[in-house]
Amino acid sequence: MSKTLLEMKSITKTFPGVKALDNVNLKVEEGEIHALVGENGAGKSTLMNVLSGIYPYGTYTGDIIYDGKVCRFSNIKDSERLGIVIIHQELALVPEMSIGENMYLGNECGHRFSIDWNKTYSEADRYLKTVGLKESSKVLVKTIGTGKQQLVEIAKALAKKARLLILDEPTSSLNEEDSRALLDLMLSFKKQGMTMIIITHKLNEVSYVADKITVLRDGTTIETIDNHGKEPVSEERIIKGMVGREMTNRFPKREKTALGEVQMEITHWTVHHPLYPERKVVDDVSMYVRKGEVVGIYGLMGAGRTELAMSIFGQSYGTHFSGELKLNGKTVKMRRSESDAIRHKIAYVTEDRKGNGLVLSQSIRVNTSLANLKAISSHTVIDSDREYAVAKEYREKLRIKTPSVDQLVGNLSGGNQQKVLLAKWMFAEPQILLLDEPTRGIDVGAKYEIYCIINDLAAAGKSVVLISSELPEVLGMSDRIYIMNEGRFVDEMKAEEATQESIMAAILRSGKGA
Amino acid sequence: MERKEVLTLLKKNAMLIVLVLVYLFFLIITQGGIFSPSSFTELINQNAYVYILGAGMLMCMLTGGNIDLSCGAFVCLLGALGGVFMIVQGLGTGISILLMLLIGVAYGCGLGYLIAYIHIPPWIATLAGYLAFRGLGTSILSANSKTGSLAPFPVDFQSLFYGRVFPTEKGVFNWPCFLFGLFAASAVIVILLRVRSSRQSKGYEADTLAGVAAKGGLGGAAILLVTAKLAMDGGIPTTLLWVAGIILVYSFLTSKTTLGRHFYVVGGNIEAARLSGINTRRIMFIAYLNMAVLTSIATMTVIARSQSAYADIGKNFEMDAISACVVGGVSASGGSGTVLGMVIGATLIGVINLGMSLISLDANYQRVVKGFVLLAAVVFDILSKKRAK
Amino acid sequence: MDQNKMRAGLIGIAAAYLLYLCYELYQGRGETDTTMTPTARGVFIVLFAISALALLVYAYRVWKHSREQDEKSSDREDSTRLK
Repeated sequence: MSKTLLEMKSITKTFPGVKALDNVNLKVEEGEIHALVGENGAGKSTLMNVLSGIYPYGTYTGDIIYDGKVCRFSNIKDSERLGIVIIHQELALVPEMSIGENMYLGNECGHRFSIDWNKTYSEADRYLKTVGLKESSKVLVKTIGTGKQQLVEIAKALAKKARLLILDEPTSSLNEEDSRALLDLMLSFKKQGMTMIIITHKLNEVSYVADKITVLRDGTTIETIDNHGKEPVSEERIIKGMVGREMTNRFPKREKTALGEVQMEITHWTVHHPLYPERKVVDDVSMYVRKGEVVGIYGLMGAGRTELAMSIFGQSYGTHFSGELKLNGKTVKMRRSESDAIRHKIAYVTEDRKGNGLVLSQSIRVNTSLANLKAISSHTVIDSDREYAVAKEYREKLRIKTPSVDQLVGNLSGGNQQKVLLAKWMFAEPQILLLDEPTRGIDVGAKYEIYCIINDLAAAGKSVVLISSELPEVLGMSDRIYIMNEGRFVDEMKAEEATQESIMAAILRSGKGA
Repeated sequence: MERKEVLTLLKKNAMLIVLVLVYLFFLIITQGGIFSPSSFTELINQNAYVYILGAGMLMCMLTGGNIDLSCGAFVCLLGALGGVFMIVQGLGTGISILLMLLIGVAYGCGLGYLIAYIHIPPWIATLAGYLAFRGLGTSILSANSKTGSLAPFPVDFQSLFYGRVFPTEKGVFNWPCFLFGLFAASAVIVILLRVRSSRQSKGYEADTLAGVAAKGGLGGAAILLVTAKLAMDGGIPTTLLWVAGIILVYSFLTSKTTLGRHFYVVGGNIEAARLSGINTRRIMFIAYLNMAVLTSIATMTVIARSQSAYADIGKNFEMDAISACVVGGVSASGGSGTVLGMVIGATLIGVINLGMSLISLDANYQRVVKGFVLLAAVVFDILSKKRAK
Repeated sequence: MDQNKMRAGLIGIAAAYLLYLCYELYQGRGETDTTMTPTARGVFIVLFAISALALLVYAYRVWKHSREQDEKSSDREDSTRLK
């Protein structure tokens, strides 16, 4: 019988105007991996912030019982002293410093005024080996990839003598390979007796590693599911708890209307890297999309899909372009101009909505009209009323949850932000939409709504190019799938004939130097 | 009103309240001197360049915290050239003004091109002007004059940029001026009411009647007060027309035009702006071309007022313009800020400057005050960023 | 022309101006017709100098922080942002 390591009882936390946690209960046993799932805004991160002391004792009601004792943390150090270590979604490493320095930042070996560097580096090396990194701890953080940096974060937590490790979306910026490695690492830690809580959107990961799954919705505990059975818990089962309704289809049904003629086609499209012109980022790619068709482009990170899309969109990425672009059968000479592309009815919905998609400091209304100001102004004078009406119209259409279109976009949740981004491009009335990872970092409910929007766009005769690194999404939404690897298209499949295995096989084949 | 509402109201209008408080402070210190009609005229005339340059600086800062360090030195250079045109060469006023504007446009195009298309950081490009132009202007002045300054400027030039519209004797109530004030005040109230009713009929959020009464009442009263004072001092100063015109134009530009919107978006997220089809380079170019043109206009008001061009003209102008913007809430990282905010900031600086000279404050202490104001503005900007996080 | 770097630059310029004011105050120390005592002058000079240095340090940190953000985002994958 394993004992309960952590119990959070009746935790309630309110912020001005909103109750983030409402009598939440969580019980974690020693040596288990406990998954915390829920939609965005369900309260998962808030709960963990309460546990780790970021929200100190006094700002919440309820009890945290750790190792049988009631705890009153006033800051993170208090919880870390007891071995509760939280690794956040955003990597907290300083790129200019070495791994060793980073690992012991705030936790230095030696005395206050003289750091024992030898001890630091040798200890750091030890922990690095534990997480499976072969690098020396003297190496600078910025020289290793994101996957390895994530492992450094874990090593850093181990150096703090963690007993309860909390991982908040640990694989959000990792590719499939690194994600799998991290999950296996967690399983090996479990064997050594470490207790872990993982917060994640990726339900396949939950099924893979979790012993128990606690589902939060709207700030309350819905249920705790046991994953010890013979069969791992199905994703549908988890989704049902998260969303509160049967989601028989993760992807909305597509009405197979007759596809129109080819709307966009590129042949022998080659793009070189802007800083290193000898490197081909997109190499001799040819593809086409018909009216009413959804074409998926699947590939691993670094395959060049974003670069491909951006290069089509007014040459907004790259140098030394070659190849031909045909719109509706007519060859189009593209200049280095995004507004040209928009005039040609092409829209590019970026994967980095906060970085280069939305203006976070401006309102929903301003962001919505951004790509098509002409439509709401006469002779360069903006018609505020029309702009307001347009913003409200798209808020209805896309079901953006906000009381006012004057709300700043930076204050919205990820899902709502993505909807504003889509609204902006839909208002530009394009015929061809290049969607780059449109559901990244969005909860299940919002994802479904976006899938419905995509289907509506296709049904209206638009051509949709869906770039995604989620295999189920690509398979569930596309009519045809292009597979991209290292700048080249290595295969093209009809969606109904493709499977996850055949797609992965195509990539592996090409990687072997085919 | 509820306590919370009062607090948010205070926060939103913090700078305006500071302005009123500082004004009252100087009212006491100068024993009413700052409330005299001549003080009002002096405030406008002495401070005109801050408003004009501030408008230009606002547009530059909106694009992302970019500034123009050369405007003060350029005023010296252009003033010297103006002196050469009008006094030494005896060219007509109209031709000289045209030439000065052309030079300003040329400078703006050159500067804009370097910054927008060659990607030279603005502070470097304008720093070069800051270092070079004053020397250039001074040498032009000494080449053309024994005293190192050129004077006097022709009367018709001065009346265009200085002096009064419909002048009367001081102490005689200037009716055109006051009627103009009545007209402006009632225009403000009418506009507020119309905006409110049009918003209501379309179902949007609109100000309460009390809100309109407050804004319209205070604004109207302020306008009437200023024009009444000016009426006792000989009428509307010509510079006021220039300043008011520029402020109105730029208010409209920033709040209601697509071009203005482009500026805010470029400052808010330049990459997103680019990917939305905005020609970001063109916006940067326009920002600096615009600044140069406004600097030219400011030059004309300055040399008309001092009736001469001399080597020290324009000293500190760039810092005054930047301070006006920062104090007025223009974000130092771009993407937010309004003309009204800049006006309040500029007026605050103007009141402080005027107050200090009215009590004949020692030049050293004036510098101390300037330093503290700048420090306060920077700290305010830092704190407001921190709170936004 | 990154925004935060611009902000750092602006704060740096404010610091430079404060130092310039210090210089002007210092230059005026021999004036006889001034109301400012030498002690007061010294106090202000020191005050402004320290503030200027503090602002410079802050500006440097803002600049460095935005540099790190740039590195971070270009670390994730090949950054598609044109520099």
